[in-house]
Amino acid sequence: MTVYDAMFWFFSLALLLCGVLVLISRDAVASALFMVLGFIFLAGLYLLLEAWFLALIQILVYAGAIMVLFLFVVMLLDFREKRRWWHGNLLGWLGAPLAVAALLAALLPVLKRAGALADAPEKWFEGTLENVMTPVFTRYLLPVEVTALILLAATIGVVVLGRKETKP
Amino acid sequence: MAFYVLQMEIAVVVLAVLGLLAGAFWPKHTSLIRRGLAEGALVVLVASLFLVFPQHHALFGGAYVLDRFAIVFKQVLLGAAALVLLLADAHEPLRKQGGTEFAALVLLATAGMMLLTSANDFIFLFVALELVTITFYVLNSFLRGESRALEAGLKYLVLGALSAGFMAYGLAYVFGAADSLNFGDIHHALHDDKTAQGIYLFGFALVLLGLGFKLAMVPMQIWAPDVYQGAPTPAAAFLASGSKIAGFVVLLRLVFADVFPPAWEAQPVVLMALAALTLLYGALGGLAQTDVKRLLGYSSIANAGFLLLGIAAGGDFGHAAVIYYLVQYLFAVIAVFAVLTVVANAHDTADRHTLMGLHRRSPLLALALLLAMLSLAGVPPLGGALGKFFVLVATVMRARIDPAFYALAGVAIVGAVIALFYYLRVLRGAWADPAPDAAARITVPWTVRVVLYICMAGMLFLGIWPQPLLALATRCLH
Repeated sequence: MTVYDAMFWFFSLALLLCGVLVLISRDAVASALFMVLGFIFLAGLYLLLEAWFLALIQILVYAGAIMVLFLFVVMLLDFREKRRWWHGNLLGWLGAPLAVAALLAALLPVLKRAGALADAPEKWFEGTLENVMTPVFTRYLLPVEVTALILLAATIGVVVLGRKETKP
Repeated sequence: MAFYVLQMEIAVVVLAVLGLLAGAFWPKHTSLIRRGLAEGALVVLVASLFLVFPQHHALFGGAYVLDRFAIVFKQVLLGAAALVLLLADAHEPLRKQGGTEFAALVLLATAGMMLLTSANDFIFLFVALELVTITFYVLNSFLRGESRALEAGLKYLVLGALSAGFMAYGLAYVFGAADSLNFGDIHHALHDDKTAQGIYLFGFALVLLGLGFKLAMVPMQIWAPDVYQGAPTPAAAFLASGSKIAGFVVLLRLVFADVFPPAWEAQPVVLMALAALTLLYGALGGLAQTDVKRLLGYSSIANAGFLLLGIAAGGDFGHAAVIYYLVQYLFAVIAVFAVLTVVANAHDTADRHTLMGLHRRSPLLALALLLAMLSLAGVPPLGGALGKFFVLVATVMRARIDPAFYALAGVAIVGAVIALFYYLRVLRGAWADPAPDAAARITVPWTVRVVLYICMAGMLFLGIWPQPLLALATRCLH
């Protein structure tokens, strides 16, 4: 096992652990903080893939901006409901591992047979800003523009659903 | 004049933004603006009919295609949007809420659906699909004072996010297997290189699961009855017509682009199983329902089963049958929701009592309900009968090569007969039961009248003279 492999396993397992902790931690603030930690480990995986720009954006935008906003809302609303760690019902506790097991059962044989694909000579792609943004503004321009419409729809939605009730 | 790229979509988005601005500047005239938006959508539709069909165009690196199939469905979806906008203006709870946001959101969702008809690339498909889904999160919970609407919105939100997650995860595998997300490139990659087919199959199955949420296909059908019941009636009408049509257009596009996993092409076992399960779930689940909107949720699932059957059967005739089915289904389902929009005004629910004695309270509504329910049930001479008939013909044609399809045709007939029972039960309430004493005559707003006349004419026309549409559908395939 090379250092690369070791780091891959470390980041992956830590990411999974953080995901589980988000679900079972006692209060919402702790969940949100575990999510930040998970994002950082995910950025580590991106670094291993030489996706520098993506790793940076992952930390700046997700762990920085979005999660701060998230925490701000959680603390503002103050729903620090103290829950026991086994909260939830039996169905959920049995169902989730079953679903994960089913997904793995479908995935593992596929990955085993795909060994030839992994041995194929790889087209190396370095995730620099230029390499990432050139397709965004050429080939994928249309989806990017449509994203603007999504944001418009979401903005209208927030205003409509969040405004004060006016009595006619 | 020829078609320009994105012409219709841009017109619809401009209309939506103008509607929003007009609503903000002249808040006293929102009703006028809302009707203006519906008429604007109709104007765009009519104007597009005069444009010359282009040669096959592929733009934005092949992500956006403009062919006859895409344009015809852009027009169909625009028509559906115009009808829904007219309904929304007559819907009492939405009128009370005021504003033009509902209409603007409907138009934005329409733009997303129209983009979907042209999608030839998974990234573009995903983004356009999200535009539709996110808009519907808001439309479904628009009446946020009603707990049912909030429940509907929340259920749609959670399951929509889950299905988007499935789709994005699947797309990662698709990209890993084919090294591209463009349908054309994927087609070549699949047939040149056999090593990646296993991974592709896994990814494509997840994508299909995510798309199945839009189609109300088993196993992603759970939300349909709850959301149809709780959402504002015009939103449910658009969910049942526009959203479903757009989903099936995407599925047809995947078939045309030939990006289904090669293992499924020889015998589409997965599609066959999904079609049978969806049909039976929709038919059996509807039996115990007393709420008409909820019943329509199950009816929507059963119809999705029929459409999946047509796609599984395949062949030119199978695909033409699916296109025909989608168009006639639009008229029937919007007619039912138009009736419910007027009848179920107070709390926006529609248990069977609300329809009692409808023939005395409003003959027009009762007649429209009769035609629409019979069309959904598949009784001639209405469009629904021929839609089901064509799909069954395509199934039997396929069964000559592949006998397993005989069993599927049997399942479809059993499902149609079970569904016939619950459609007729609704009609019994409307036509045979006496009106409750307190029930007064219902006055039907002119906007709903227009919608009902259009839908009734459409159902009868398609049922009596199907050749024009069938010929157009066949031309769409080439």
